[in-house]
Amino acid sequence: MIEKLRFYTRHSLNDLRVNGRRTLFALLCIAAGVASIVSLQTLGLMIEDALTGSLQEINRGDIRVSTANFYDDEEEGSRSDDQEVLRGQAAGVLGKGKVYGDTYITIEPVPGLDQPSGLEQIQDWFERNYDGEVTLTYRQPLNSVDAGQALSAPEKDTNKTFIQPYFIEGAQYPFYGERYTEDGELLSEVLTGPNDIVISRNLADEMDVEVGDILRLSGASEDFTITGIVETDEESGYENILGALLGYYYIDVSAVGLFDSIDPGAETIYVKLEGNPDIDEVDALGEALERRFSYLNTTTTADLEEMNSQVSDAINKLVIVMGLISLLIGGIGIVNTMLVVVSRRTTEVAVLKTIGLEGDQVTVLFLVEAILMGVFGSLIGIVLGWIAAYVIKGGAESFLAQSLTFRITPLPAITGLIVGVIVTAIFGFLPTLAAGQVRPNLVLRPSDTVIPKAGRARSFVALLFVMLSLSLVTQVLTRDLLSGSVLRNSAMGAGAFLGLLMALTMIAGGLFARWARRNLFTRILRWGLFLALIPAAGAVYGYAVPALLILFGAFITVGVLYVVLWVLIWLVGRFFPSWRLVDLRIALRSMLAAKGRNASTLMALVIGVFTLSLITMLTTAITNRFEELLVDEVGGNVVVFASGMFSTLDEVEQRLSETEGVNSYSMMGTYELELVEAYDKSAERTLSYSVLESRVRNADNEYVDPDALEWRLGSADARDVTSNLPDVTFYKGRQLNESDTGPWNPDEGVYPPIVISADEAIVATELDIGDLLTFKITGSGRGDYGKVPPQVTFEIVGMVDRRGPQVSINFGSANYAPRSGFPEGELPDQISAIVDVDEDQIGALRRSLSKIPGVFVLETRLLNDLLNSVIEQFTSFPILVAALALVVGGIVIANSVALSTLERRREIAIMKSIGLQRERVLGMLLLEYGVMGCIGGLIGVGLGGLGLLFLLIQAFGGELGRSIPYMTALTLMGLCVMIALVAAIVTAWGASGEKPLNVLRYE
Amino acid sequence: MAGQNGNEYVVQTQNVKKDLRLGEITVHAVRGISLAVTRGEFIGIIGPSGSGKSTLLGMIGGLDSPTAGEVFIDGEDITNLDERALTRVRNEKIGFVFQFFNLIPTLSALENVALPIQFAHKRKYNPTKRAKELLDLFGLGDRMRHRPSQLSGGEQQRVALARALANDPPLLLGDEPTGNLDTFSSEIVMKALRDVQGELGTTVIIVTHNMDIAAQMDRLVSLVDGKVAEDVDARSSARLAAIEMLRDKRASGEISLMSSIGQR
Repeated sequence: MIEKLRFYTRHSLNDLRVNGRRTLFALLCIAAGVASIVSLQTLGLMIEDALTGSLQEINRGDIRVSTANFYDDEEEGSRSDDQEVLRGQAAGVLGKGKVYGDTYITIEPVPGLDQPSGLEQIQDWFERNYDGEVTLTYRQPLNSVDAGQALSAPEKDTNKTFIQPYFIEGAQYPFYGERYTEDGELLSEVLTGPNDIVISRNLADEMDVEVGDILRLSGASEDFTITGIVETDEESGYENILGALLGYYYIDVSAVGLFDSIDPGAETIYVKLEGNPDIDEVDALGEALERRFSYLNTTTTADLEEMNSQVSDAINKLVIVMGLISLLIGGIGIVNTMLVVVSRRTTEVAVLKTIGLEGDQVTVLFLVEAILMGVFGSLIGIVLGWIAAYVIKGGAESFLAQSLTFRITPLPAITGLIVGVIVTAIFGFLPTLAAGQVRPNLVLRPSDTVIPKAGRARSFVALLFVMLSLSLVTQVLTRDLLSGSVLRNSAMGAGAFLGLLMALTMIAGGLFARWARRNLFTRILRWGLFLALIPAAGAVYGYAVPALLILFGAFITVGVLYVVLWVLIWLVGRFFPSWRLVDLRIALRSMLAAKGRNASTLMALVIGVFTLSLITMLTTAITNRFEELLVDEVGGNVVVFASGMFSTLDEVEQRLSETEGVNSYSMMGTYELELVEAYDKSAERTLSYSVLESRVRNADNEYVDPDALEWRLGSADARDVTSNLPDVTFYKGRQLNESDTGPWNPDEGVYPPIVISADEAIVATELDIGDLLTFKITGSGRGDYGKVPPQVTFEIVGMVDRRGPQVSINFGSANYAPRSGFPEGELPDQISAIVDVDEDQIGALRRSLSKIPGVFVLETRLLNDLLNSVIEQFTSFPILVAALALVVGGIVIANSVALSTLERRREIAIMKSIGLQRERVLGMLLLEYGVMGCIGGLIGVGLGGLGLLFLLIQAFGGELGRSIPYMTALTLMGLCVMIALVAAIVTAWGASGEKPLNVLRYE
Repeated sequence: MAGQNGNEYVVQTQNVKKDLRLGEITVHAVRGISLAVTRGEFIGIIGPSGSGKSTLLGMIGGLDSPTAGEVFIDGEDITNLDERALTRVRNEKIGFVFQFFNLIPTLSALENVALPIQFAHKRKYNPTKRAKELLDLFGLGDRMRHRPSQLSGGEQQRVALARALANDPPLLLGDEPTGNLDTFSSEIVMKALRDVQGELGTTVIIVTHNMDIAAQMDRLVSLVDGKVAEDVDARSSARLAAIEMLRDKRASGEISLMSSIGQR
């Protein structure tokens, strides 16, 4: 036994060594798959390390307290945000911003309330409830675009909008994990005065500034001096992605007086508990605090731990599934290699059988070779995997906005080795089964054309066996990812079905037929046993190993894909015109001759390209669509926001009219409204708000949000009707036009027109063109609560089509009416202007407008840039992973080319012996694989496109034409062809250069 | 016959037939051949291309099963044996030598020869020791560690011969064993085969085209169109006459191994 095993091993090793080139590519196929698993799992562990690292540092304290977001309403049932906020305000803990009405925790006692500040009350509570020293520090909010969100460097003439501000107590922040500048100074040492600013490295690079330069922050009355620059990843992490993405700065809370529009307060309070409380104690404290101050939210280190482990768990699962896909792609390479190994060695197998090796021993012999390849391939894969992990670390870092520490750990290596060997053995099994079936009489008539086959029934049973084994591997790898009773029950069904197929195959294959032939009873017993026992066993297996369902689905998908590719190759090979080009004809014929293998090879490429194309095309489509929306729906390329009065508006208007390059502009004031009633013109009756609301609530449409009415008709823009109106599709009615300027006379039935945004909820109200809407003008900005709010009535002239899932952009409200329609003297809550200005004059416009206090200029292009960088960040990692799958696909192709040149050595030699140059031989191979790459690209990108179309319809509704990224699709197709060609050149170069005589004599 | 323990006849075929399907046509490759070969015979099967020589050899060697008729090897009926049992018969009772040597390219000469003993159910010999002895016997003592690609044709065929004799089978089958060799190597291989028959008492059956080789056999079976040729068949009698002439020339010393060597 041992001697036989030694023989198998030695024989296999010799074979692998002697056929070095073939072995190399086969090993690479396995290695690529294993490398994916190892690299992704290593990465998963690195991410886990980083996320579960120092929780206190990530939380910047033991407990983080913030104003409640009330996103957990559903969980707790009854908390109404308004009421809670009012309670907080009554208790003096919460304050309300004077300009924007935002909520913050007070840091000074509220005048007129005999209560300490919120910060103090919280500090007191902690001191009473925690047995130890408690320290608090806070972060001042800077939430609006005209305060602290835009930065400019006057000396460099650079600027940046949307930055993450850290408006903190420089002496205290952060409690855990010290922040050092690049010069090695502590944050507390460089952030000492109100005019000091410390910025992140990415921001410094973008603004081209260094320590000592002057920076101007929007909304601040004085300039700041840069006193330090910190590394970007000092302030990041997946729950604070914006820091890394946008860049950030630190200023001290003593600078709060420099900003007119903000009130001193805290958006977050960081709490440090001395005396090393354990994590449960901290958690209990957090919960108790939330009970005492129900309008506050706490994030404890325990919360963070739970959140982090969920994230790392999800990443781990994603990583494993992607790795498994790569390995399966690699598996195709293994099948191809083993098939060729077996068919190349048919005569050898016949000889071995002639001198006494039995069929199953031959199978074992080849299986040993496959397993050895699995071992070597996996070992190479482990090393490559570690290298790949190091390389894609960057992608994962920007994905998580967190730096990761590279670490070589044994677990991924062990997983990779075991999975690699098992999968190789499983995939190698089918071809080796064929090897065992070689007839020994072949030895008398050696022939290239005899390809060993395992027989249909045997192949089918073997395929089922492969499926079962792979499902077991998948189950072990994915563990609890695959549980749930629905999955289990379906898997049970699939198991029973497969069992039935297996039983029928066995019966048809004549298993135990001779035994059963004895009498009727044994015959019935055989049928009964087979048809009952095997499906039952299948069902039990399915229940225990629900991954079977996934494998079943995967096999069917792969099977369908295989058939489609096979047919396509056949069609192209058979009917594609060769235009009398002999090279093309030979290439097409060769392609046709190996349809089966070519189809499986292409499948590897298709899977890789599909994944990559879906991700890249989706991101491009989203960017394209967003760009279109910005241009169409905003009605200009610059938006000017102005806080304050109509006087500001006049000044803005004045400057807009004076600035060169401004093509058109439209001033807009956004009013907060409350719908009082509607008048149904056709039915001639008044509808109260509650009638409309009940219509919405009773709407039989899944897209209707029952609470939508309140906010859909909760605001309207007052805007110029002469220019810059949005280019949108109307569900009913018309756009505003130049005749909509008044005067209006409600007493005589002449009402100002309004265009409303008609989504499903508005459609459900049955409002129509000509109906009247009466609003109360409310809004927190007016501060005159004693007065009865004025009312205004509009006639609906247009309804913008917002039905179905789609994305819309507006900077004010979704509804708009002429400026003259709103009562004179009623101030809007927000003022903005939509400007269409020549690109090269945007800088001049910004300089001109920024001289007006409280004015902020936003280029819509910046929004697009922002979206792009967000998309880039979130897709960098998936793209890398998909690219890995594509690399594996490329290697499978290289392997296939290598195998096919090996098989066609004689053919190549004959062609060369009749006078073909090496380059021409190579050219033919390139033609063949170029065509194959085209087919692979077409199918892969096509499938990706279909997936994209589906997602686009889900996200944007109709109007897809311009969103589909044809260029990206073409590029990906080109990439496919390139991969196929490179693989062909690399592998076929040597084969095309062989001396024909050598081949013809010895082959 | 089978009942006589096979001692008298090593090979016996009774009216064996073999039909081969080539695409849509059926070729009657062997059309009923009865043959008896006694122990220690040195016998040649000759005939033109397509006469069924190799097919017959395949059936005698258990590489192929007859469509009809019976085949006995060393007294055992192998006609209806399954693949597993046939494998054992081939391993224990039959040695093969082929025109294209058919050595395992990745194994050394020694490993090739040791192979059948390693596969044997009941080992009669120590594989390595026996392989060394046989290779020494055929003058390849210094080439044992070489792989087939590093050996000449004659050397490869002698390794194949050694491999065929590894389990000391009573029957040695050769399918054009010199067909791929030059005259010199052919002479050496033929001498080796003759020694095997003479010294070990092994029965040797050789299929050949080569009249000079046929002239060295003790008995000839001439096949034409899948049957043993009738005496009146001109195609066979002409061939036999030519072989007879060559045999005379060998006997008179006109053709000899020495002359071959001399020419080189």
